[in-house]
Amino acid sequence: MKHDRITRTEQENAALYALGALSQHEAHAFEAHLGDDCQVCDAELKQFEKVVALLGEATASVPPSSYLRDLLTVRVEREAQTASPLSASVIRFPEKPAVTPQKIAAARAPFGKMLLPWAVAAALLMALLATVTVWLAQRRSQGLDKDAIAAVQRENSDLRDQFANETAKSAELAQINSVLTATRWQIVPMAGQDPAPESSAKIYWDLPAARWVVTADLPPAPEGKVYQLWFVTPEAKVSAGLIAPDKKGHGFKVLELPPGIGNIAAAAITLEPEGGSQQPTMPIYVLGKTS
Amino acid sequence: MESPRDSREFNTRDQDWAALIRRVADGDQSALTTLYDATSRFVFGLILRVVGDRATAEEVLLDVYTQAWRQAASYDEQRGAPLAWLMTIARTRGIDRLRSGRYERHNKEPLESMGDVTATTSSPEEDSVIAERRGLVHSALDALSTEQREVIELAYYSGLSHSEIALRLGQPLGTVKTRTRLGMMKLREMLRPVLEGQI
Repeated sequence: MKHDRITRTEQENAALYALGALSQHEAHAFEAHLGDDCQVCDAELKQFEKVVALLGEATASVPPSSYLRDLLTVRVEREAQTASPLSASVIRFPEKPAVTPQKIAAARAPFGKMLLPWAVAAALLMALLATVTVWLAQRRSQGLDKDAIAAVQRENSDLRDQFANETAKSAELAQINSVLTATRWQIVPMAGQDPAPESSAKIYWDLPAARWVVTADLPPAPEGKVYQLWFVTPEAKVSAGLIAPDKKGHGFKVLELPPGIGNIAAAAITLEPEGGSQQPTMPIYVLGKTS
Repeated sequence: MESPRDSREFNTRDQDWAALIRRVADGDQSALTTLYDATSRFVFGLILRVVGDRATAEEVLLDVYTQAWRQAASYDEQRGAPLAWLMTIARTRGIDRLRSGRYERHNKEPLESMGDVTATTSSPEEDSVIAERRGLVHSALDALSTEQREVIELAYYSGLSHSEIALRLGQPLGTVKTRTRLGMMKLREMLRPVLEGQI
């Protein structure tokens, strides 16, 4: 039945439906009524839906932790390589979307698929290197000037560096993803301390496998010094090995937790003499509590 | 019958964010990151208010933007502004998590008690439009009677049905329905400048 004007009952239904507060049975009945092309009730509902959408804006804005941005990037990277967003089923705003089996399958896609684009990128880079090399040989045979050859050699070197960086990034993302697809995981952000407040690190902790994937951004270590990672338990500080950042200060490490390590309350990275130390001698560069 | 939303009703910020969503629909990951940078503090605030626990809220936040990535093509500017779209996903996800019963909610502070957080965490980029809209929504909520605000907040933030609200408050179902209807009508009236795109 279509309405010429809104009734009290239908207004209640529209308000409660917009808030998601009707019972399932009532919601279906109201949807059926809307499906009969009652424009009066449809217009009422749309206005209440806009009111509901605005209520969220009354809530205090709170900045999320910075590491979530990185996690989102990793997750979307994985999604992008398993399915195009255009292929997702279209859900009309603001209705509640359903979780389809396809999406669940995509979220659990094997890492082999995830790495495929990196492999393609690597293949392209290799092809480019080969082309540059052939071109270089041709230029040589044609006796062209040395400056041009030097420029091509520099380009070749840059491409090799780029290839190495992409390969390292690919390996790191694969390790982080392996943690994030575990049944239980935790992220421990580590904050920069006094010697280098801008430093940071993160531990991606695969709880069932007792495995850590650690990423760190640190300043270059002074000559004769190295960075060392520590498990901090209530009883002791136990070395978790050295971290060797690259030229840009980015370090990456995967490690298994030692059996019987006990309750790890925190983790820290310190600067130590070359070869590492039995016990931390300070200073602490980054520190994070596990709970 | 409501007329389609005129493009002039979108302010510049809305237009920028809608353009980002269109790029996300085309598979542009950098657009999603930009959208996240611009909106995540608003979305996270709402999720935190719904689930009441920071660790859970962080998981839900990732789910929200992952869903936005998957369903950007379904975003329809005629049906609401970009932030409203994200807030709707956020509320739905947050309430789904509440209903899943996988964890117990601890934070039951009223909306107003979080006002200080707004004051200390708002970004310089938070433009006057959002501030004005937030002020209007606060004023609209303040204009409701305590009973009306109570039922709407229980439905909105806790995801309770009308019968659950009636049970919680010990009130007849008809009373809950009436309070909800009157409260929503008053909110609509108070928020008319926003709904009509004047803000």
